[in-house]
Amino acid sequence: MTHLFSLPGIGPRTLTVWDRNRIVWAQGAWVSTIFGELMEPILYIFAFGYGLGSMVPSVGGVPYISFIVPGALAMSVMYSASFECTYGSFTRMSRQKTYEAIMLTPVALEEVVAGDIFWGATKGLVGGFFVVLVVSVAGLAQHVSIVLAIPFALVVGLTFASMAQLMTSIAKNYDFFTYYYTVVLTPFWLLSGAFFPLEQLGPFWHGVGKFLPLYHAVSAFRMLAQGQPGLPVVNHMLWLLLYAYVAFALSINLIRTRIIK
Amino acid sequence: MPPVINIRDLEKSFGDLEVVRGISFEIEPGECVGLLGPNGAGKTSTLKMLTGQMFRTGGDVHILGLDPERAPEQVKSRLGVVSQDDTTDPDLTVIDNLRVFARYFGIRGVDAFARAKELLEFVHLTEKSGEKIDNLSGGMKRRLLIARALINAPDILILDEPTTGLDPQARHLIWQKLRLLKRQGTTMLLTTHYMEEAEQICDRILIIDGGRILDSGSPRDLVHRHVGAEVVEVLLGDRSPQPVLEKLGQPPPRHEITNDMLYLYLDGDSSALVAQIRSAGIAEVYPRQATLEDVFLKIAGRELSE
Repeated sequence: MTHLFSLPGIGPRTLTVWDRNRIVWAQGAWVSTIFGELMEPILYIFAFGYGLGSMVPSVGGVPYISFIVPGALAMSVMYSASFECTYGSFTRMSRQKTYEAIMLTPVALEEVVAGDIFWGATKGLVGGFFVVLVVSVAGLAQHVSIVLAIPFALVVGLTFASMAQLMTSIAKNYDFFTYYYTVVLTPFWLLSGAFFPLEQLGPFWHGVGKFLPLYHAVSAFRMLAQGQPGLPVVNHMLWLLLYAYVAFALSINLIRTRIIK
Repeated sequence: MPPVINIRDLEKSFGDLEVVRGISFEIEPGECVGLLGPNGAGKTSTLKMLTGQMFRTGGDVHILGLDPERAPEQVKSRLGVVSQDDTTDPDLTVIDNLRVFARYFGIRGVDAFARAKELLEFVHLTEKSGEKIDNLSGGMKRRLLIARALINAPDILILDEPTTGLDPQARHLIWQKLRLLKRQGTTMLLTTHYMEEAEQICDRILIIDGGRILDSGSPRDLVHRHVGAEVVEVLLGDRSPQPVLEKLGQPPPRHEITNDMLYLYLDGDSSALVAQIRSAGIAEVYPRQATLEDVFLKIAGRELSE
């Protein structure tokens, strides 16, 4: 079983698969991406920030509307990467047989899957970029170090893209992803400190939350948004990379056993 | 020159189910070999073990001297593969299907564009260059798949049922293109269950059923050895075959009886025999040339294997 967790050998051809997805995106889908990535944070900030924020004046000295910025950022990156590597990847793997087509070339199946995961991470980065843009334009950024959230979004994107690809590797059909979104990802944002401090839930749930990748994403984004880049951010990044590594290796190895009999 | 494909005792099983049971053959440079057999014979599994889509459970495979499981990148860079399923990329236009595919082989920029245009010309799809894949017919998609398989100027072209499901016009156009490629010296390995396709394109045919090679040879050689020159089909209806055969001389010609049909296999002209049967009061007598289909049915049996 250990080989399921071993990192597959991938080379520069991985980038040709990433590039295939970029070309498809650049030919039209980018319009809806930008629209969605702009709308989502605007809605969060208006609904939770201005709506709820008028009743919740501040959290730990931070205005509520600014408190939720890292939460909106993490959610946006999480969903962008997840959608790409569940519905997008599954379509390419099963219905379109894109994986089968590419593996007839010198590109290995491992590189095809890795290329899809890196593309999902890139979509996460794009999502993060637009949240930072909206927040900055709206004057909600507390510190200039929020720009560091853009590269950090790539790490968060890689984690959630890998986890989503893992779901794709075991999915029988599209319905399966509904469970992933409702049973896994939705509880994540309750337990991650995105919209209220995790301490509110008591020590047990606080402890559970600390094992969830979204908690590390929100915490790191919060530090970057509030002008505290430093070692704790690196610590959160390492947690995220651990999740990314496990899901990345597992998803690739499972898809290989699924496709090559 | 050494063979470009060398397969020895190839085996594949899924648990207890053996789908390929010891297949051996070689393909010389420039040769076109057809694997002919019914559905489930093991044709596609054999091909998939050459293209890295399936791991073999026994035997040796060498393509251009390399084992595709040990050196997949080198082997695949020299192969062109047309899969049975439609694996065109519906997210890309016709020409971008080729340009993006070229990048997987490390062919980029103007080279990829020039090669893509040339191949679209070759398969008569130049006018569809900017079209979406969804707007192509089945025959056009298959031609695009053939063009895509040629993007890396492969040494060997592998085609899994290249014309299954196509209308006659589309099928003939593809045969014409494959014959042209053959004349240009492309080595080809294809699977088919169309006898006409095997006769039109292949230098040599391997008849496969139950995961084994039952016989092999050129189409003409196989027909000559197993069937002869002509076949006379006699529709017996409710008649018993024995009285009919007795009237045709001692010993009667080589024959086969299935349900309500009597097949007579002749090495020479059949007109005398046909007249003889008709004079015996049987009107439904159909003489025709022997084909590969007769060989196939004789070797693999007339019963449905499923």
